[in-house]
Amino acid sequence: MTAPCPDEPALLARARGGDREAFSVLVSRHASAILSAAWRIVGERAEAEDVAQETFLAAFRALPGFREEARFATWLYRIAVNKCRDRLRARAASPEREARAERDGDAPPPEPVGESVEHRSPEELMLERQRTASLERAIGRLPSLYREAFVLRHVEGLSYDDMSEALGVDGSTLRMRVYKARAQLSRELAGVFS
Amino acid sequence: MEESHVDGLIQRFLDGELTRAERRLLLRRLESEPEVRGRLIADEAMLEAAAGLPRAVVPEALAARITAALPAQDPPAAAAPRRPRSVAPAWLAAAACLLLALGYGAGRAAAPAALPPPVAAHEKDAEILVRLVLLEPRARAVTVVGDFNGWDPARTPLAKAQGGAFHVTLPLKPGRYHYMYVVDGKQWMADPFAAETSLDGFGSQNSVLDVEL
Repeated sequence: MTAPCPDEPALLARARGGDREAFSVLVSRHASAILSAAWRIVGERAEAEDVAQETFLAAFRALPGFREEARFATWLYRIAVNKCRDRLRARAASPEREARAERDGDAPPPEPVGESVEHRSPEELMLERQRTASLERAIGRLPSLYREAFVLRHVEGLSYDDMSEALGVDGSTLRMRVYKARAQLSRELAGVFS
Repeated sequence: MEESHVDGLIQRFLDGELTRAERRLLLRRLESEPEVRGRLIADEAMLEAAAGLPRAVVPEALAARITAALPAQDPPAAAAPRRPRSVAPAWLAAAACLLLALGYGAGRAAAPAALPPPVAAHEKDAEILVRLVLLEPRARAVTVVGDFNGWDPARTPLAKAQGGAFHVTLPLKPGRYHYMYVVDGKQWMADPFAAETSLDGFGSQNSVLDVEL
């Protein structure tokens, strides 16, 4: 998630007053993180885009009720995770959609374009990409509660306190979910990261 | 020390939450048990990779849609317009770049600008050196079979490198080749990063390799 900028409170204040331009700046700063997290949680790019769109619209509408003591980013994650859960629930209730999601699941998010890779040999580059792809696939196979906890903790880098706020779950439960996720990944990726 | 206790210590270590006394306990265990040490190193490497996973590129169209859908003032609770499923140009461009880069490692002759091109001769029937790389840490031996070696599993073994990687460099004439890997002499598998696959007529997928000058 984008680091808080000095002017974020000012942007929030303006957005709270209905300033669309100020909110658009906030969208541009946080959209990539929300989209990435949603993509990894729902496992499909098209749905993740919908989640991101719905998240920002819901946030804009709910801004008057946003408490300043919470981080804006954490609040966005909370909205996004709830929207992801809605979609996963709807998918689970519809075997056809579930099957389609499994069949049409996307590749993981692309590598940033333009990153310098000259210092790595083709073999090293290939190995790194294969490890990354293996990890993405293994994350996608985690049970949804473990997956969202792992993604927020280890991919998005949230603290357990922030996660607790975002997910509305106490820290010890979150630690257990992350632990279970790590254990499953560790088993499935034995040898890949040795 | 109980195994579950060690597990607990490892998990709290990974979260950076060990007390000094617990760290001492874990360090003693790591000193005497290479298996535990290996597990911890692997978990650390996995979490490092997780933290470095790429962020998605936000399509301009998505950002524009969000902005356009924002209500002006004191908004009514209107439904947001839906995104057209087929439009994500920036994303597609990024994915295409990834494919190109992966294609090089998997042996495609088209190379991204950031990497040196494969050796290429200038005559029409020249051979191009193509390197195939497969990560298969649990394998003892890997060979490649394909149009270029008569699908003979004994003809083209891959060399094993550190980290579970197997690789081979093949001199190939320009053309289209179908191929598969054979792991430990029995498991046939497609190249997980081949740019293209095709059905082999036996219910499996062949990998497809395009070699171009």
